[in-house]
Amino acid sequence: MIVSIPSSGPTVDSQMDDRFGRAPYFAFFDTETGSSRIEANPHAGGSGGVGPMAVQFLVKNDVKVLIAPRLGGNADGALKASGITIIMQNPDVTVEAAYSAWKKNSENSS
Amino acid sequence: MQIVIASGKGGTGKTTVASNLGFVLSLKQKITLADCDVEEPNLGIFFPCSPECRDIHVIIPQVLEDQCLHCGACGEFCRFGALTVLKDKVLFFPQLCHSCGGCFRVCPAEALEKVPALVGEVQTCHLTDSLTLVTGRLKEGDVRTTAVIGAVREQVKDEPVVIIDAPPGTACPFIETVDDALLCVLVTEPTPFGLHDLSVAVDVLQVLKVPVAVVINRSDGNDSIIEGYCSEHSLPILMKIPLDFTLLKKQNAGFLISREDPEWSLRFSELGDKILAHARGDV
Amino acid sequence: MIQVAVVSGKGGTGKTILTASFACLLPQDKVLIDADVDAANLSLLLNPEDIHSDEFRGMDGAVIDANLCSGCGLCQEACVYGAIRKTGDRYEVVPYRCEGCGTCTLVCPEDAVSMQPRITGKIHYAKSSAGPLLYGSLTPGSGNSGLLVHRLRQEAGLRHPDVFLTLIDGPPGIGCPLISTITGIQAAVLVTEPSKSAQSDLSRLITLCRSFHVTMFLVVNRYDVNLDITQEIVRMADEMKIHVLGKIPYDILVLHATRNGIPVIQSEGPASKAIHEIAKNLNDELEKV
Repeated sequence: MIVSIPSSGPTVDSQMDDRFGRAPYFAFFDTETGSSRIEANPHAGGSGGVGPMAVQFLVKNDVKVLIAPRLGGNADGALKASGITIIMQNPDVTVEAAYSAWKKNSENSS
Repeated sequence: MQIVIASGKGGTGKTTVASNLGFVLSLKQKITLADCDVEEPNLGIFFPCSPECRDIHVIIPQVLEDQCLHCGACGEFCRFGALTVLKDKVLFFPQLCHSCGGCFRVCPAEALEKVPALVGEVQTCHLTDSLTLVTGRLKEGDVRTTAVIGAVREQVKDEPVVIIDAPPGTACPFIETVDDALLCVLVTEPTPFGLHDLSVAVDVLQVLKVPVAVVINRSDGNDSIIEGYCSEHSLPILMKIPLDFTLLKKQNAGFLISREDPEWSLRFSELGDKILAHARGDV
Repeated sequence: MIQVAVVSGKGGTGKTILTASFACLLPQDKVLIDADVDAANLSLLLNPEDIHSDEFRGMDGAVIDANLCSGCGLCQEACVYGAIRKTGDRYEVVPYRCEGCGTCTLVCPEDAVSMQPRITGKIHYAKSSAGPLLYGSLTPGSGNSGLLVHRLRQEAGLRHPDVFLTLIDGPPGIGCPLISTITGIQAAVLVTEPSKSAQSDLSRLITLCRSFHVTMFLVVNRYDVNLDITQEIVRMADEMKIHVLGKIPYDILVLHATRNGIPVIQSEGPASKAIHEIAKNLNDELEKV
């Protein structure tokens, strides 16, 4: 399963970004293999409608869970329709820490 | 002949000028007044009537899910983010759509249907035998301002003399209103604000190659700030409207000063003659 | 952090003068944004010191390579914005009409059309005695002011994440720049005047602010120009439970101060007195937020 997190920088020890559609990067974690990679958000500098565009980008990358701090109305609607699970998380941590916290939490609850 | 009355800054009195000008000119010839300030159309306040309304639509896509391959082509093409393609459905965000028509072209499966979406209306009032008012009104919350302005301009394009009340500012709505006009009259006031916004509007009109004339409103006799700029840029000043509390009161209450007061009727009539001469290139 | 915008629907109601007054009178640590990018006038009142400016890129625009264009005209037919014109036997893009949709690139059989970044304005960073100020300017003939407003707010948030108050001088109208201004803010101060025009604009603005869940406050400027309409406006505000912060009388000193580049609140006139009172009321309300 792929888990994605908006990131302010190109490595997993970067701070989580406090935006969604305009986040400069997205981190992708694979829960099965434990591997991670980061990709630049192609729509970060778009003029409008960047929320829905980012959702399509996540869908294309097979994301099942998104950990994000806040979402615009259009992005929220698109994410709900996409079936991606949204986990709200305060962005004052690194991407890696946000992922670990989620992983620990989901293991404990299952 | 299309003449636009505009002002970089809002509230300088362009609607006052457009309404009075339209009224006095219509005593001598056939005039169409067009309100292209579609976000806040106010010309109608001075000419109460019950208008004929025509809805304005733009074309937007509707997804035929049975035919859709969910290939993602439309979502990747749309630069406005109006289409999001998921694994098993397509989401459409009408407020983001600019009605460019590109999605219909990229869809390989003819799964997008062209449907109309309401963006506003155009109201037409035949006020007298020689005066018609055409008002564009944008639906509240909609952002497709230029579609409604375009519909107003399309409707009046063959009329002999059209006086257009422009939207404030100098961005897309203003450009849609003033492009290809014969003359743009900028109404300004003798303050640093007035000068700043006048100069921005003049810069834009130079790019669009539309000739400019100036009216100074709220003049208190010391208008050197605007006069200096106009002489530097060779712009004619066609009229000065004094700062007058009574005039402000009348106008704010929805009275048309040139209908009430023969002296003002004469002044606007003179302004009208000058504007027509400039538009025809007789000056 | 609280974000407050001063908005008016109709232009010329005194929005910028009021914003500048709030900037000077409200005690909170703040950042100022002039979102009226078509006519950025706040800087004229605050006399800020410009620090630097960045180029602002709007959406990409179409460019036709004249060497590749065969003159078939398919792009002109496809463009719904009328942004492609024929010059001689070739076609070219009229930049100020192009919305950047890219449809022309789809239809060109010669691959002569491409989408290129274009500079459509500037973002200016300045400092004033009331706090840092961000304002935008557009290249003549450019549109996209809604995006520029978005960028100004974004930059203000990034550069000044810890300030208590973001004070925004809003654009007129109820279109795209206004929507970019009020999205996600907590409160809006609606400035109106007792005229039929301003009254009808106000009701459209209220509908819009309501749908964006923005707490509204009202100020009536030049209220004594028409007491009947003022009364109607205040009654409507009461019915809609919109708090009226105050009413400002017509005062020639406002015009004199503005003309001479002096803050209105430094004058001794009745308008200045009313503005002081309004700022105090707003401050009390902000403390409750």
